[in-house]
Amino acid sequence: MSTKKTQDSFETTDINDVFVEGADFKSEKLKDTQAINRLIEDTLVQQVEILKLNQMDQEELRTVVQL
Amino acid sequence: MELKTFSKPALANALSNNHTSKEIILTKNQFIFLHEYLDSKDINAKTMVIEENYISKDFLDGYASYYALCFENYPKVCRRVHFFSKKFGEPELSAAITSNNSNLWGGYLGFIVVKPIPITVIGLTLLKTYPNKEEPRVFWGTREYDVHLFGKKLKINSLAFQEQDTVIAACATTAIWSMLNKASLDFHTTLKSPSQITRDADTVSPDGSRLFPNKGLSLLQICQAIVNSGLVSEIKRGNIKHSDDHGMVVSSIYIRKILNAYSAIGIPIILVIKVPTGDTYGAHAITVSGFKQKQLKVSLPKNDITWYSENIERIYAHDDQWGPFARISFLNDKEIENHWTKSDPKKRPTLVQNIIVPVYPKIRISYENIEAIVLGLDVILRLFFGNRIVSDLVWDIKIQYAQNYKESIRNANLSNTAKMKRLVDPLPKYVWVANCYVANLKIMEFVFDATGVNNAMLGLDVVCFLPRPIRIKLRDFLKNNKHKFEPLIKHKDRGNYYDFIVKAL
Repeated sequence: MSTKKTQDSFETTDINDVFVEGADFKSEKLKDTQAINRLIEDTLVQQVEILKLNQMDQEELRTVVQL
Repeated sequence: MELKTFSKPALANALSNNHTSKEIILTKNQFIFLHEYLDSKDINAKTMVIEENYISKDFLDGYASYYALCFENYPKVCRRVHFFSKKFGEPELSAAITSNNSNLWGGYLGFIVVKPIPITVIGLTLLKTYPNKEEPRVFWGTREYDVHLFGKKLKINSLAFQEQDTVIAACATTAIWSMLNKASLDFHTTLKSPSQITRDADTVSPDGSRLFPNKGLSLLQICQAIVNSGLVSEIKRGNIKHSDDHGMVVSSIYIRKILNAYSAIGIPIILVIKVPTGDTYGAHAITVSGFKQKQLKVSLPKNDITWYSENIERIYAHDDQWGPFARISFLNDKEIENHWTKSDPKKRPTLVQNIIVPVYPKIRISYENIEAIVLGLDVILRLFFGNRIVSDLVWDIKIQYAQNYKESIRNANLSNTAKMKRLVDPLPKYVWVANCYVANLKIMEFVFDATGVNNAMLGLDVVCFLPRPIRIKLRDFLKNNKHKFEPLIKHKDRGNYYDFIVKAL
């Protein structure tokens, strides 16, 4: 193993070291759980919010920077 | 030519002129800052060389448009004060001027031009940045300048600073001028003097009165001046409510994300800040050219996205009312601390109202468009990995020059075939790259066209560093959950995006 673990840093040079021992990845269809649906809904809201940050309103553009 | 040992009184004397006494200089914020900066252990100035009758192009332009027309007879030549980290006397300096082998020049720290006008005397200033030895500082907004002194060509990595003269330039003009000093290395962009920048902004002041003496610029006028220099602006608005008094401000998380995202292009970024002054707050503009990054703390997988930019601990900005590379730290998610806060009797915080990101016109896709997609990708990958990875997924979104991106591919842990394909295929001049890390290892890289049309599918490549069996599982996971995951790709052409990612795996 080429892993070095310290209190607040984890350094590795081998991609296999980032997986926990015996990690078994699943590829099947996810069950429709409330937690997953909530996670998706929250992300959709976050995405709308982030896209709004590019839209300046006219009033704000008139702010005078003068100091 | 005159040589002085560096000290507070000697510096005050060197910065004074016929219209501004040494006593006035000693009370100026810029003097307090510059003395502290030059005297710090990181810079450590020891000797000053004073050059009289220096012609400063930046001052000459303002001189021609304003000072030459005054009744008072202001000189057109300036004084230039050079700083060295070595202690030496006149014999050593004389020997160094006539010889090519002196090690005296190695300790060159830069210079300050002293303008021959009342009070606002600090002209073009080029000073060495804080070193990067002990602390991981990145000055991405600086450039190399050639300094010619007594026939010797010296090189210094810095970003030009000067104090606003409150006549032809206010803080906004000076902030744009500093930014253009770096951006003008690209042939599309023109470096203009402060008076030209103010004239480019508009024909009248925001209140309808005369443009000169200048009383400041509105955000719209700042953008207009930037456009007239060959760049375009992206303005970022506040995203978090501070209080009823101050309204919306830009959160510290968002400031870090934007600085990190656009830093690789190397154009300094302008922050519009609200600073405590007197009994109230005033709007001010500063130019960010670097930051200090600490090592990112690794945490266990969690239910929220983690950004690489969170490791930005401190930023460095040119504040024309204080000095170059002024330190700014984050107090909390809504407030920052700078020299305005530190010098305020009540220690009131400084707030970031807007971020103005000057970019080359060919960059048409904004950070936010990419972050919206990455937020969806993070959820998909988090659901796939679950608790099977040792630490949280960390995302790093940056705009890059295509040639720099290809350079990173050359050094990546990929097969020669995979590298060859990516190095040979053409790319647009600018690309957005979203890197996904686990611990310190990159597991995936998503590349987007930064020059395209926002409604089009902008994905160019997905580089997957996962072992092949896991990559295949991920591809099948995406295929089997298309109906659930496709809406997470926040884009009008989400179907195309989704198919592109699946195909790339």
